[in-house]
Amino acid sequence: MNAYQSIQDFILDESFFRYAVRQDPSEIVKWEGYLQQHPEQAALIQLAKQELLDMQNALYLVDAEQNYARLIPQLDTPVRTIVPKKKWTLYAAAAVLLCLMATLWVFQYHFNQSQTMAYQTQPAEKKTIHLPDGTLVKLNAASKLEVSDGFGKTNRAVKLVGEAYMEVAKNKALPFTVATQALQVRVLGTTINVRAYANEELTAASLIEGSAEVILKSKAKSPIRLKPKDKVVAAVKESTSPSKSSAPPHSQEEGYKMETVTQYDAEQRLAETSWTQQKLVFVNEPLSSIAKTLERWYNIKIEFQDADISARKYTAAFDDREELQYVLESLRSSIPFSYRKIGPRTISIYLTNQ
Amino acid sequence: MSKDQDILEIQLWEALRSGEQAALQKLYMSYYKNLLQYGLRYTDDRDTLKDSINNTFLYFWEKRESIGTANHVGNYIFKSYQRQLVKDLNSSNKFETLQEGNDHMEAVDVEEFQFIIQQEENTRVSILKNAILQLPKRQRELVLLRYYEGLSYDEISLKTSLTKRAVYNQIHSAINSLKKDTNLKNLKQILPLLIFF
Repeated sequence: MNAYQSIQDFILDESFFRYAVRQDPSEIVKWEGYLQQHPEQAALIQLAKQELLDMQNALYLVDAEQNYARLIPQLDTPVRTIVPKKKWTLYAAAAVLLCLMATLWVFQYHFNQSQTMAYQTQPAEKKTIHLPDGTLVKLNAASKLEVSDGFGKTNRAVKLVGEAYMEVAKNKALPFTVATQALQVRVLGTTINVRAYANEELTAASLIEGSAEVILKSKAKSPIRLKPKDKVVAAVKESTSPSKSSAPPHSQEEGYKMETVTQYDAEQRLAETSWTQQKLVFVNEPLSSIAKTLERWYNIKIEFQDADISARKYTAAFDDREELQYVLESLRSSIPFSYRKIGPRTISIYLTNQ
Repeated sequence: MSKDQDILEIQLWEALRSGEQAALQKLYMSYYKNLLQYGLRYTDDRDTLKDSINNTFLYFWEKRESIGTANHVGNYIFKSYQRQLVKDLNSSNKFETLQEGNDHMEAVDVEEFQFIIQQEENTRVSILKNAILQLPKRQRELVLLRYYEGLSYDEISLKTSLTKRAVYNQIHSAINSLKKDTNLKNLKQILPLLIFF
């Protein structure tokens, strides 16, 4: 047998293909033997196998698309003849439509400020949006951004549920505001990441560059000024201790914490905005919170059998195109846990030896 | 079959019945692999199999107004394909003994068929697919022969009248460009990134 050193060596090998894809019994015997002699290559072999299987699926898609393209011209033959409806139904429909339009017009006339535009992403989806004022918005999975009427003319107000990275265009006359359930951010021209998911207890605003002010909705107090690399983390719910002012500034009793953004690698990239670079980065983050991100990104549900595990903290970085299984395997290789599929899109995480 | 999956399939089926071509395409893409793999158990003639798949979906489209609601969409698609396949294989005399209800056609176990709605453009597989489509035509053909039809380097050499060495080199450089275009590359960069406490 040749000396296999890289993923490609395996991918290009005929015998390895028969093992990984065709699951040829004699090849399985051979490669399991090889694996025993070269346990250090287990990870490499696993990756090569995965690449080959992905390639299979990709090739099926290529073939399916090519074959579907042959079908399309056949689909467009007109086969339908529309049966004319009775006349009175047409008149009735027209009357109803007219009433509806009139009502709509009256509504718009009286409440024209309430007209909003919304951008939305599904789980496992991201969108880049160019707002009319020149602001660039990247919207993370399962998020919604509402742009109010008159945006760019009379105001620059947006509402956010979920996570967004914004490179706000400079406009001194019209400040750009981002409203979330817990706080409001006001900026002139700046780059900022706001994370405010409805199913998370904390909302965070991280300033990448420029300047911004944050107003907490829970407390009527002066705005918090942010410098670059500042991060405000605020509780969405009212904090339990309503005690006032004796606490030192920036303490949790004021309903928020000041932090600094986290650099996670040697290139000083930031964990907060890593999602815009197709990465999943967790720095000392409890598994419960990691699970929420995975749920959104892989469009799954994760349940914990033990609260114990969900509080454990992990640090890891992945490419966001990584398979879920790979992510879970990597996480559990540092602090072990077990998981199993309990539904089509539901995964249960529990203590090992249970 | 799971509930979510059923609901999703039924929604697509209803959309198809109301004339949405996108729904037809989604069902087509989701079932293509399974239908083709099933057909390959009976014949190596991929061209006939592909025609049968198209005929099956063409039938759905043309009859969309008269076909009923389906509670088990996968089952229905599969049964229709099976009928079509018997017809097409018999008419091409490729497999004369094949008949519906014949022992050759085993009972359909739809449970084993995975219905996968492609998540938009963010999965590894779609990225890889796009990278494959970017390959030069010759390389793409060779990659398909090698990794899709599973031919050996020798067989490909015979078929294309290229030398075995040339086939290998072409595929080698195709794999290299795929690696560049996809996270085959990233995987290696990510492993050292896994910093655990």
